[in-house]
Amino acid sequence: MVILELQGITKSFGGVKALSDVSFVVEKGQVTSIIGPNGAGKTTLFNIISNFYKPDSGKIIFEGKDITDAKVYECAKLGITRTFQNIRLFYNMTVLENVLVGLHVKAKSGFASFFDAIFRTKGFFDTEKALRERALEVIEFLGLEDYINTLAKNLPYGLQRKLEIARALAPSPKLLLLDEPTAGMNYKEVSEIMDIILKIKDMGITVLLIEHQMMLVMGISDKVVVLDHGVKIAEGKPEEIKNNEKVIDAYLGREEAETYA
Amino acid sequence: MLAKIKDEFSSLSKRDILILSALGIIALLPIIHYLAIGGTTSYYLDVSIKVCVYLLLALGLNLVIGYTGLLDLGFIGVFGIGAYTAAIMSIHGYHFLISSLVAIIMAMLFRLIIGLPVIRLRGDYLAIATLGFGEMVRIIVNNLDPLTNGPRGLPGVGQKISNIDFGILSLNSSLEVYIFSLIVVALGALASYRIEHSRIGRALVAIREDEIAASLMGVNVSKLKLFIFVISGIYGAVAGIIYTHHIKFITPNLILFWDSILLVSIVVIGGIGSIPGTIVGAILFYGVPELLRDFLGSQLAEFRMLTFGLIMLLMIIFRPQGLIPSERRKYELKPETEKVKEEEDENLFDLEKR
Ligand SMILES: Nc1ncnc2c1ncn2[C@@H]1O[C@H](COP(=O)(O)OP(=O)(O)OP(=O)(O)O)[C@@H](O)[C@H]1O
Ligand SMILES: [Mg+2]
Repeated sequence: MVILELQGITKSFGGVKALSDVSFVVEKGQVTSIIGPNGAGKTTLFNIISNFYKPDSGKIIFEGKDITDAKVYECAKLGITRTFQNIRLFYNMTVLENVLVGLHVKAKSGFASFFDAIFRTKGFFDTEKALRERALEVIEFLGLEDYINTLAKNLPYGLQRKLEIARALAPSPKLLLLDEPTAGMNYKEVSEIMDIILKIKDMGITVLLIEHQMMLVMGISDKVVVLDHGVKIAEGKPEEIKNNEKVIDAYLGREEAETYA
Repeated sequence: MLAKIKDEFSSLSKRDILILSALGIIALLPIIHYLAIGGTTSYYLDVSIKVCVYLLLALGLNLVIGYTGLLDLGFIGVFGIGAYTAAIMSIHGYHFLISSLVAIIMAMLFRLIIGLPVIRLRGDYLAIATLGFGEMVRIIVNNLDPLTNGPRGLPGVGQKISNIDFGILSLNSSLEVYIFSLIVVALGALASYRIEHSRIGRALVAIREDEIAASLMGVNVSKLKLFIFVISGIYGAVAGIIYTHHIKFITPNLILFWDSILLVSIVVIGGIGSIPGTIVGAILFYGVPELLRDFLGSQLAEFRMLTFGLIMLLMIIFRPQGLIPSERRKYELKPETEKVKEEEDENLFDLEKR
């Protein structure tokens, strides 16, 4: 079953065409990876799916609904959350608080929640308790339980990446967008992230992943989409992509060349 | 941990208990002095009431600057709206309760109307726009002669502003007004604390920290900013109401840009986002100079600005986190991550260390 469908997404920034007519579908429950050289338009695509940018043309269909015109803050409620290539945590908040903000959409909103907070009603404590239970569950899942009250800015880099995943995972999204979750990580940490992504998939959450680590992409993806200069040049199972001439020329080849240089 | 959820929200850290006790004692001093001298002069009580008024303003502004990170340079405008509405209503014979209610509603409306266009602006632009609206209030009040009596102030000849009066209870002495002010400040601080430690408070701080990440986590940034902008107006209005009904004389000079700056300094120097810091800031930067005026004469008032600059400078160099940083920010200065338990133990006696 298709959970997300991109139809002819085009986006330019001034003279730069970041995406040209990109279309593909993401199957529910699968891990789909987007690969491509630097500047290929991968992050731009995430920014468009999460409604942070509007496409110049094209449509985003999520669970059969056109969400192209949705507001940024509506995405989490719809069930789409994400992490960022350049970590964006709430640095002066604790690990627990960061995850609790991730759960923002999971609690009563509007004036009712303000009333509950001011008068400390039973509903307030019940909600806070439920939110904390969920937050702790996710914090443990990512192995951050020793850092619950640590400020995000004081976490080591690798754990900051994990906290971002925890925050995005907390509201149990339907679609999780991970933008280079292993950037700057060592081999051991990369394989940890790989395990985590597979477990997230087992939870029934669809994952859309941007990655440069081929080990990870080829190891866990059900499908790989390759972008180059804003154009989709290939799409298919990992084995198909590995042997695709165009991809080797544009991306894999280049990386090999870099390795031996 | 989950079993203790209620404790977590109701129990205060050792540091906060210490600060609260100290503040309680300070709050009692003017009363003790008043009783000791046999109630002949209420000078210190009157200064203390003004400090309470400033405290309320600072607490309100802390919601906007401290929690949400919106640099509001025109907060004194809402104080003016509250004070003038209360005065005008009272002069026209409305009961204290009615005039107060209208003043609060007017203040919230004012914040809503200026908030709508301003709230989407970022950083410096927001600061300049709010500054403009603050000044606008003063200019309007200055020129709306038939209603405000212009620069001559209210009440005009033959007019009268009533006492604070709850129907069954009327506050006729400075002592009563002071006790009432203390209660209002305590309630204001409590409400502010409860906002901070709630879903809304977390979202506000998240906005301060990273607006984009917050909105992608589902926080409706503009709406929440506007909401807290309006709520802070209640603090401003109540401050204006108490001031008007106690001092019983107001002029457009109540709404000076300088006072907005003083309030921002109180919030920032006190410790951004920290309620105890805001309270101590208001006492130090409003109460103490006000008292010293007695000893040093009006010269000090002139040197106030200079002193402020100096204090600001020293603070930036030696204590950038504020006098009493919020509990959250306190940890910032720790060099490395630590286990939860160690942190909690640390917490107990770190007042003198930091
Ligand atoms: N906000 C923006 N304004 C102007 N140009 C932009 C903006 N965002 C992206 N671009 C441009 O669009 C192109 C695609 O950028 P994008 O960040 O999507 O690439 P990417 O595939 O994520 O690259 P990387 O692997 O380096 O992260 C680049 O040329 C970039 O400079
Ligand atoms: Mg990118």
